[in-house]
Amino acid sequence: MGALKKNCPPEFQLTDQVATIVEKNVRDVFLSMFNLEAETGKPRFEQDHVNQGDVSGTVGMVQEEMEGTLTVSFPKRTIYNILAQIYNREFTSVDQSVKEGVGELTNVIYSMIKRGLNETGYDFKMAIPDIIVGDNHQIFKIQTGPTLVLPFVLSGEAFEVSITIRGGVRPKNRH
Amino acid sequence: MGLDPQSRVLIVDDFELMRTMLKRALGAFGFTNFTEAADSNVADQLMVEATVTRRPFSLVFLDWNLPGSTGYDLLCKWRGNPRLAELAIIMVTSESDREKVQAALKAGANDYICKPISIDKLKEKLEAVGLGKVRSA
Repeated sequence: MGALKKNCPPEFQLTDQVATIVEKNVRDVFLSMFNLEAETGKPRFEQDHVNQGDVSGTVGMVQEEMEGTLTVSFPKRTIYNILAQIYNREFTSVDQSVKEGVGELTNVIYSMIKRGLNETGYDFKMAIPDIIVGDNHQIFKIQTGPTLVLPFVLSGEAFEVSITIRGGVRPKNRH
Repeated sequence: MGLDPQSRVLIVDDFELMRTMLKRALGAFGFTNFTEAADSNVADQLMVEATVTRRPFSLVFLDWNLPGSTGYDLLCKWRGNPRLAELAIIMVTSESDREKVQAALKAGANDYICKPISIDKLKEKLEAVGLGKVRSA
């Protein structure tokens, strides 16, 4: 991936390139794991984004001199439909399987995005996701910063992936 | 190695979703005989029981990140046991760090698979550990 490294941005910024990496890897996760095609809405950049959903997974994006958060927020209907295809049963409440399912999905989505970003010269590390449960909950960041928001539709149901950053660093391979 | 789709398969992963998905995917290749463990202690206990009762596992999918000791620790322990020499172990992880891959292979893992696990990737790994031609998904 040497060619990509030469084109790395000087700092981690929420660019169209990052949006493309996030979009591609989220789509790949759902295709590989569930054989489902996720449709992507238009990415947008917001300054004070508040995540909303019924079940969300959030994970710190850890890299030297940078703090960031990846959040995957599902309405209940969306995650119920996804998991019903795997477990062959109907979901009517946010039980342990739903919480764990969102946790593992967040974990896999972050690992794929991390891999994609690190191929462009960054050095993100794995971290452990947290799960937030509550009907139409909102997630406010203590230190707000720019947020990349990517809306997706899966089998007619919406969900959202977002990255909020609070700093910037140079890619490890950039001179 | 001569693995057969009727062989006993142990799936070690702390997430029910991944265990269920792996079972479904392996089912597409004809596997039906699954045992699951959500942590390394249970997995190790199951391995001891399988050895004692002479109903050995033939194939293990071993997640790297587990509560308690890691999948890598378990890999090292099992590879130190000559009675498990025939056991095929595929390490599973959400990370693709080269160092981890090399460490797992050096410690005796037969192969290594990164999440998310697709049918195509799984088929490739099953063939790599000795299944040869598996039934198509």
